[in-house]
Amino acid sequence: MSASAEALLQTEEVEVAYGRIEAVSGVSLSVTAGEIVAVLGANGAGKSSLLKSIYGLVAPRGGMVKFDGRPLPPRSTHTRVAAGLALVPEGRQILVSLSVEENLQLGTYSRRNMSGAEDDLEAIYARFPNLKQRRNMSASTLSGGEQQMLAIGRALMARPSLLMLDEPSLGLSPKLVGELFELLRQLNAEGLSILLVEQNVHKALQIAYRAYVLELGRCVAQGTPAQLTAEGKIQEAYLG
Amino acid sequence: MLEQQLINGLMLGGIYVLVAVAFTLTIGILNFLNFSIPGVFMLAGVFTWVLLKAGVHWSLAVAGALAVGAAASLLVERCTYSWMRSSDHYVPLVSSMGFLILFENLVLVQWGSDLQRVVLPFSDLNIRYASLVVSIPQLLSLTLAVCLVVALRALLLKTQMGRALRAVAENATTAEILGVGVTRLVPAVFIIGGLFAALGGMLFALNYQQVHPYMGEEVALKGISAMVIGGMGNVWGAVLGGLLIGLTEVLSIHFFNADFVDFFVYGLLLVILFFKPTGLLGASKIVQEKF
Repeated sequence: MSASAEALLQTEEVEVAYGRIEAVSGVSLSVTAGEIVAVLGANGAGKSSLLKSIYGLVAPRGGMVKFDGRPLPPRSTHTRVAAGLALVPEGRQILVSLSVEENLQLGTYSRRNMSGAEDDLEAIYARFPNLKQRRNMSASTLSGGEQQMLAIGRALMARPSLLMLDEPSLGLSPKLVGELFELLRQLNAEGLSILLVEQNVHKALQIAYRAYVLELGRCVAQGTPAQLTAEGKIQEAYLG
Repeated sequence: MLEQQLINGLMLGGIYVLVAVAFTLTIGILNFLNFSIPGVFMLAGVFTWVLLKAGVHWSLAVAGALAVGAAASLLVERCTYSWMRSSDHYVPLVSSMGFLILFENLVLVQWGSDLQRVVLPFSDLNIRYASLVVSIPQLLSLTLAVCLVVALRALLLKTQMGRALRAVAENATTAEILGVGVTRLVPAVFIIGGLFAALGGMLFALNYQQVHPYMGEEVALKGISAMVIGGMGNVWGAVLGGLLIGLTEVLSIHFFNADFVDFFVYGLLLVILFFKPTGLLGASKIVQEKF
């Protein structure tokens, strides 16, 4: 299941280092179109660094990232967004000096073809009615859950084929976490591929088709949720 | 007479507004005090003189001066900001100051340090109404300053590029995540800022009909003061501050004499900062809403 020819996203031996500190030491993973793939691991396992190098926010020291069969340039995010990748960053990163609607509109920045942008905006509002109510207010007035909806809606405005999320459940109440994962499942049912970095292993394994477990920058296990649970790999990675 | 002085003050203020907006753009969006702006102002003024003296038609001279200003500003971006974005704040600041000195000395070497008279290709550029006199370049500088600020604000608030610029102002990494090509947007900020400064320098040359290599410095100090009085990073603040300083300058000459100009201008700055440290229109909220 790993490096199939029709993989939407594929990393090959990606290495990320900050100075002399190595965060990711050769991780290969793939996401096939239509999948939800989870990347799991304890704090400092290198999950976020891997995601950032896939997205071009940090330049990998080695290895390659391919999207839709084409290698991606090392340090350029706007080409990725234009190619169909979108990231919901850790901590949501809502722009509070912009209104809710402006945050969403900015999501279309790299779209060459703006036709349908209005319809997409209405579709987001239909999905998240709270955002529509506050469309002209500063994004700082939103609650934590609404901010996460805005961050996801903003990423969807780019019409991605692969949505990547970095710790989306962080700081949300259990009820909101449930709603969030239900939303991801629904988006996936509508055809969106998802790469999910999560600390909430239990929830992530409920929706993921496959998962990779990272430990100290290396991939120590991969497989379907059933395989990983049966082999006890998850407990090993977290409890050592 | 006082009415005439008020008119003169507003017209002079128009030039300060242009310079203050140039400063406030790079501060507001890139958090960078661009010290090359007085150099760009001076280059545009000097090139207006050079081109007019060479017998070029005034419209081409104006276009040429603006082009030189925009190109100089882009050069500063290419050589300082684009390389030193990731370093400490003072590095681009100091290197932009280096460009100011470079521009001044290039002009000094080429044309000397003398005050040069700009000879206008028009005989009479004054509009007279009753006993009031308004010169057309002066009227133009005020009108252009206000119109350009309105246009700039519309650009920032209503367009996708404006949203992207405001996103960069708040958090460049987030803007990048949303697909904004930050490295492609920054040169645009420098060109827009450079055009504002160049327009100021060109209009200064036409209004006061004199240019010299250091003409930018004094105006720039007033421009920075205008920005601070109005509120850093706020475009309307730059307008208010620029007009206030222009009026203060002219009125202090009217009521006292030219020796008192700096006393009142910088006195005003101190008094305003004492009572409102963030400037007249500066954000006093925690969430800073720029522009």
